[in-house]
Amino acid sequence: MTTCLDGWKTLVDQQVSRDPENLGYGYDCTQHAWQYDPAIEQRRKPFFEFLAFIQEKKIGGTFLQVGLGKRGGSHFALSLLAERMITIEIDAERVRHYRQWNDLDAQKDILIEADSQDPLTRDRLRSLVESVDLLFLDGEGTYEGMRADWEFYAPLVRAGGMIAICDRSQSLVELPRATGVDRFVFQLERLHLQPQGMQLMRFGQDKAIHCYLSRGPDAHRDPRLPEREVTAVMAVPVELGSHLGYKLSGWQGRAYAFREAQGRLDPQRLARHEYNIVLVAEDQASLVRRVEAYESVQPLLEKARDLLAADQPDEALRIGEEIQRRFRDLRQLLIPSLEAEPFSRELLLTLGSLCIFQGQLQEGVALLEKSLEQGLDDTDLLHTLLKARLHLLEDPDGARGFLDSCKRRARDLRRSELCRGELQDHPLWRFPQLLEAVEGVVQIGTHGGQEVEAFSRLEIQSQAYIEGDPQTLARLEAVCASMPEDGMQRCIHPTLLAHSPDTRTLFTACPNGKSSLLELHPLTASHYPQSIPRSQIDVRVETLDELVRQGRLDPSLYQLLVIDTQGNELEVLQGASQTLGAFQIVCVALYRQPIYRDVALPEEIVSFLAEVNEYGFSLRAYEEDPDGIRIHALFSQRRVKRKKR
Amino acid sequence: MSPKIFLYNNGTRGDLLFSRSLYREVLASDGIDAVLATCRGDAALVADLVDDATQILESDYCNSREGAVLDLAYLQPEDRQPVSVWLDEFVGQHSFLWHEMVDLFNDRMRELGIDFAIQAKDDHVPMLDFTIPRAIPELSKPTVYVDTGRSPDPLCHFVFDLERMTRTFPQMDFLCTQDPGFRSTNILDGSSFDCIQLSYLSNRCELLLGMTWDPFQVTLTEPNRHKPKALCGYDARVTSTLYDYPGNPLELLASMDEVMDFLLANLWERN
Repeated sequence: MTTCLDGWKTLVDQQVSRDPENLGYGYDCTQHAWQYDPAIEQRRKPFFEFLAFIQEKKIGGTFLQVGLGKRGGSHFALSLLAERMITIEIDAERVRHYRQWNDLDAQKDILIEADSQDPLTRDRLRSLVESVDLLFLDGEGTYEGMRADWEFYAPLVRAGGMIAICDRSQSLVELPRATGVDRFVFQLERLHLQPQGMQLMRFGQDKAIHCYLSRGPDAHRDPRLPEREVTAVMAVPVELGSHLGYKLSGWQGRAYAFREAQGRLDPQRLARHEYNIVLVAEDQASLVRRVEAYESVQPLLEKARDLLAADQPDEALRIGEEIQRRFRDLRQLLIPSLEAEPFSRELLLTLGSLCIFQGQLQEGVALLEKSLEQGLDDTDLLHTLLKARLHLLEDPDGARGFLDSCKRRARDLRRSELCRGELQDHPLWRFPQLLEAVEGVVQIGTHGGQEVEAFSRLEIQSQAYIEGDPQTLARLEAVCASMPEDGMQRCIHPTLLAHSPDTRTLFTACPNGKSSLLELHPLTASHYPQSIPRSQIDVRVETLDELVRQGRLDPSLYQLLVIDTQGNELEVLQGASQTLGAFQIVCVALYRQPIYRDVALPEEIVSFLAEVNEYGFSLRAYEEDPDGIRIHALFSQRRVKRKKR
Repeated sequence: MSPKIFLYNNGTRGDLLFSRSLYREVLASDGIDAVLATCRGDAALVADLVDDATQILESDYCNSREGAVLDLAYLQPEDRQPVSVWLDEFVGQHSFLWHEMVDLFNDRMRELGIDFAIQAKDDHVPMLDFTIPRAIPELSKPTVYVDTGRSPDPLCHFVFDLERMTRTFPQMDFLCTQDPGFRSTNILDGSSFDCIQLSYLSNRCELLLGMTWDPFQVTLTEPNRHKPKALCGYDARVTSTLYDYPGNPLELLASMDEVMDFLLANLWERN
């Protein structure tokens, strides 16, 4: 059952943020460096382009995916476009987890827990379907694995169906030639597809989805690929047993230990920093000793941290002397482990504590602060750091500065969570990191007050709204009046802005409640009846620069400027050219289609902002409206001057 | 007494290489006393910029694809002011232009109240040449430098068709910076050379090809300033040129066909 183009985008975006704990969160491109747990292991933009391409080619029916992925998000996304969605996954736990946390349609969602390379799997598949309409290969990310899956399943795709191959090899630079999916795709295209006139498309770059339309099973018989390559440079990890709850593995001349619950050593997972902790040594015997030392030192470190937090630094340092005596070399021995997993909170805490109590204070504080960056909810760690600065570094100013930065960070995190979880309908909320350090906002062109609650919840202290449409203004004033006493400064400027003071015509009373200083374009008016104005009035317009000159607006209070004025955004910007330098972030509505007469092209606005002053604004992000007419673009002011031309 | 500063870059090895010219300007100037900090193993990349009186503080922690494993600020001596030159701290703002690096450094000097500034001439962008002695082999034939290494870059996807290149240009050698996995009489495997040696080898090549800026920036040397060069796998419409300079011949090529056209256009005399 297919869903209209815009509908599935929304559904997928909702799915990836529905249940972070059990379904992962976001896309591959929205992960923290220290935590890789996306709901969909693809970058959002190329994945959506791929799904749109499927729709464009009218591919429906039965989809087959090889590889469920960590959280199964791609199964969900593809199932929105398919009548039947089959996924083969070798990891039983992943299949069980997906079944537990998703509502599956027994007729539509088929999960086959099996090795994709087992001939019995293919037989089982053939008992279900004669052919498939789309094949999505996202299994083992190696040359050998991908090629084997392609040879096995590509002949199942009907003529006119689509075959897609996920390729992450060019993003895993630590593993040169060891993945090799890009080499397989290169050979496939050059030796097999091009001679038969099949064109390969690619969505994405270093993490890509390659796809082509199949000519049917016959086109995949006797593929002219080279003899199977010798296994790439990287050896496969070898299991060495267990010790104290750690699994031991050997790989590329080193020994690795990680918690048993983390599964087996997978170099690709290691490259993505997916392990909570990894201990590294030159050989198995050294690794065993390292594991023992690591576990033995933990109670002492914990005790020392507790004493420090209880304002007993001398007692803490005595524990430190014992640690120094018994584990003199442990700090040096743990450094390779941190280099293997540079964001491991546990390892950062251990190494940081070791350094602090062994006298390397600056290094220890830096390590602990890096750990704290991943989550300010660790109040014990926060206390340890504060006390270390106070008692050991004897730096009360540093402690105060650190606390202030933590408060700012906590506020930014709250904003991020709010943006992710509760705020909707504006792309500004998709990029909460741009709202860091925003204490004030000027909104030119409002939607009758929708923004007021959002900005207030984000604790943006100073809010200025500029609105000239009488009806919208009335709604805005009512919303502002209804806001509780929260100490925030809100002011409304009942005016319209343009590039110079003038008298203009305001086209108003549109069915969609919007009004504009620009006339609706006669060629497009019939396509957008909701935007056809029913009346027009003469109004006085001024400029933002004029408001500032007259002292009616103090730009020093505001860092964010939002402009949504139904087509005359460029005029507003031109009338604000002296004031724009005060803002860090500018959010502007751009029009892809000229629904208004003389509306500026997006390129004009981008160019204007890039050159408006000696610094200029760079485009940071943008998001299309579901109707495809408008784009909301976010610009930030450059912190270095443009080169004079 | 000259103001004392602590210069460091928390970026990747590639970021550090881009900072060489800035470090050189600062260290060669009178009126400032600078100490450098690097990740473990990176001191060698800036060792030629310092004299006996200048210290390089090397962290115990190595570099990584995300940059310094541990913020180098912890190495700051108490009597020095910290100056970070990592442009990525100004997220999304930079394109590694020389004048931007200079502007940021000078801004930082002003913020610290230090009366010192570097003058950037619009018409001259310094290159990143090494002067560290390194032994390199002679190249017996005219050679094309092919940087088959890459760093994470969401804007770049490319695979070199070395077989096509070597077959079309049998009179050229192709020096690959990583094991090409492909054997041919005119393929040279440069995977055993370090980046300084590769930089010197690139000086002796006729033409330079790469994928991502890092590690290709080792070819930003005076001998290579006006050589034909290209980065492969980028969409030129949406990609800016890092470390641009007047007369930069760098091209951005999206496909293998474009690479072949580029090679033909620049090597036709030898074909």
